[in-house]
Amino acid sequence: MDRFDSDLNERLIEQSRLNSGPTSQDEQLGKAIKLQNYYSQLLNKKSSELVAVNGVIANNSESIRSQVLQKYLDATILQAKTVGELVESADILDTKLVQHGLVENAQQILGSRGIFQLPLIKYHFTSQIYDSVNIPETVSVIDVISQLQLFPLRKFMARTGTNIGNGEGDGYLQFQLRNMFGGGEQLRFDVTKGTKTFSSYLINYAQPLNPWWVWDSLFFKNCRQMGNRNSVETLLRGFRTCLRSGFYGDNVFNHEVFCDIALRSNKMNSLDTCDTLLYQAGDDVKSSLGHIIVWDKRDNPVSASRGSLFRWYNELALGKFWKSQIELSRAQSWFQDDWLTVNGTFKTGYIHNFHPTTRSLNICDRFQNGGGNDVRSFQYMGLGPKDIYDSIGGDAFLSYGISIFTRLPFRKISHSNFRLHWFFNGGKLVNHNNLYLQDVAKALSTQHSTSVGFGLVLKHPVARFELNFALPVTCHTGDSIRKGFQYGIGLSFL
Amino acid sequence: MTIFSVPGPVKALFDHFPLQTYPSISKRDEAMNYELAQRTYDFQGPNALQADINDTFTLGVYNTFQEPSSDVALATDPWCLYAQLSLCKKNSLKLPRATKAESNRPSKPRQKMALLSPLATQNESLPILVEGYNKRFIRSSDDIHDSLKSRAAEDPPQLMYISLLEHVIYDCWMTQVLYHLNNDDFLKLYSFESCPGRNNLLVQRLAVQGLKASLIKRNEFFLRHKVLAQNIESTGVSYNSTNLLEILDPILERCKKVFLQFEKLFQSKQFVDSPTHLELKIASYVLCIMNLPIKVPLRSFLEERCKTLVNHSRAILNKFKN
Repeated sequence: MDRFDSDLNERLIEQSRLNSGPTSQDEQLGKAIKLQNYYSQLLNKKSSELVAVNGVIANNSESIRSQVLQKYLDATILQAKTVGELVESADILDTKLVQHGLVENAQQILGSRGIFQLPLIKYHFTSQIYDSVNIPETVSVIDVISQLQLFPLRKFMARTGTNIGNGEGDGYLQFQLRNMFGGGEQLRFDVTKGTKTFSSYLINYAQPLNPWWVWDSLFFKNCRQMGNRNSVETLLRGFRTCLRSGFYGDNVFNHEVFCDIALRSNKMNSLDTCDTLLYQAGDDVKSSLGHIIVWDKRDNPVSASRGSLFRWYNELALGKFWKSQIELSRAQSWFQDDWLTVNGTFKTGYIHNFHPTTRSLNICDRFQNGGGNDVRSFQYMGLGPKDIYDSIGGDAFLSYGISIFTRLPFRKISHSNFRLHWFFNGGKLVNHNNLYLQDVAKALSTQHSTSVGFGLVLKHPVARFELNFALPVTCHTGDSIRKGFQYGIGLSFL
Repeated sequence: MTIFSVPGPVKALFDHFPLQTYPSISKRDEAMNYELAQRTYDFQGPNALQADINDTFTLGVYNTFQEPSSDVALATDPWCLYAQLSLCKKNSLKLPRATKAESNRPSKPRQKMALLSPLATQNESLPILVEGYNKRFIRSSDDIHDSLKSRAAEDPPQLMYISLLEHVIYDCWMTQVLYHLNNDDFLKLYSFESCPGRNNLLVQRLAVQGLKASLIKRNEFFLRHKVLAQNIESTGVSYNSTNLLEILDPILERCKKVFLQFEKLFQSKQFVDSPTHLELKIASYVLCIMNLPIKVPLRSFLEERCKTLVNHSRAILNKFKN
């Protein structure tokens, strides 16, 4: 018995040593990678095999209206003709059900009942090439049954927490009624108190119209601080409704069409406010229609390692102006584990004032440049025209940045989310007084405010944190420079 | 030298940055220049011109009206008009012209009066006085009020009368504009957006409640008349309610009594070339009340019973005309 116990102990110690040791971990990782590679090879090999989803068994589907679930199935897995398409559409189905607030989570098991033959002439298949002399009368199709396991969500949810935005932070209290009528309808009430946004209240109703389009409406009231010296306090009260698409796939453009009506009150807080801002104080109503088109192929919207982005924003403020803004971004990585990443971003914008000689643009509508998330080494709203000390914004701008990221040069922490960062930024913001477009382009093409620097970046999944040492290379008299350390927290960077 | 100070050679290196500095970006905005010209009135007289722009001031008021018998722009609010007349007295200025001759605008810097929103200042009330230009300081309405009050401090009876006016007449003025004017007439007094050509009716309609709410905060009106303040701050204003009339009537009666006492006082007083601050104060209230629509009870009372005060105020006005 003793001998048996000692053998057992030895075996357990040996097993635990094997399990905990670095060799065991490496082996397990290796096995997992091998298995993953095997599955992906198998999937690639069989991706063009024909399939037909002839049945879906949905468990726990009581919380979703049957017509709604049918719409989602029709638009995704029931469209699939090949194994590749089926796997991709099954992923999309799960994502959409969760994203549109229909379920907490969704899982699918795709099973086969065998292979059956279908007459070729009656069935349209993609990517099947046959020799002209050897066209078969029937094709083999895998008969697939999907078992959809749905995890219903809690309809009422109250939560509290903190948000981090571009150079600001806030705390929020949120009440949510989700999937109210079984179609993903969501009613949300938000209260936020923060550093730049003093207070914000919003009532939001969102409803998916189909798997690809969401209708989103909100009433809002918020009070936020603006200006390079925080001398403007803007109170916004209004309504916004939009239709937003969420298409997946290669070369897919997503759209957002919106209508915005807001009463804005600009209040000046400083004892030495410039004339421009003094005359901008007061109430103003803006009603606008807009469209945003986005082509986003980046692997991560916060800190991309590879991929491209194209975003074009257009806004027509009725009776006031037309505003257009374009953003282009491209990221590319090299070496093992994306050791080196280069990211380039270019942004430009233009406002056409319909009354260029009589009605000035509101400071809230003008472009602003500079700051830790924009042209670094300059203060927030530090570029462009100034009236005495205050930034008054501009109606055309151009900004660009090239960033180089590398993993940390220490083996133990090289796999962390920290990166070393080198950058070059530049930009210019002007008031064009409705000059011709080519003259505006000419004005924007010379005498840029530029900067260089380096720092440390934390690529967190929810936001990007930067601490940089930056120096301005060229600037304009009146630009608010920040020489030395500068931090940036946010979701989008230059 | 501490550990936090930057070493000399490093500082010398960083001082080279930026390597090149371009001229400042032009702030020229034709629409803003037009806006400035439309909402600015120049004080007249030789003293209105200044050699240095930093020696100028701008008085911010709600709106202006043109006095029927003259071409002068007067502030529609009694506090703003008192500040306007006091500035004329102190700096030997003449009142601004209501009609503008753009082409004759001199290139020299001038003392100005501007139409602003009460949101131009932190405590949301006008008048404000912007002193200087590049290096400037903005005096709030409370600062201006205290400063003007201190000028009458050497004459205690005058100071007492001014204090009386600031409570009895001021409160009555407030009740007249808040409860006897419709929104359009109220906005003509307290919003420059009601000027012809601005065409911002929707903005005015939406902003009127906020304007009234900020106005009752001035001179602590809301502390003296809590029920009226609550009534203004609530969305449903019930002018015809019996309770409200019971509050408004005594305020009007007290005001009439005070005006009659001043009428008596001024009947025996000769007009002198240099009006006192008390006279300016009375004139500012009288002229503003006379600008109210004819249906307003306080205006008809002044027209009928206080002819001396009205004439005296017009005489003061004539003194400051160019």
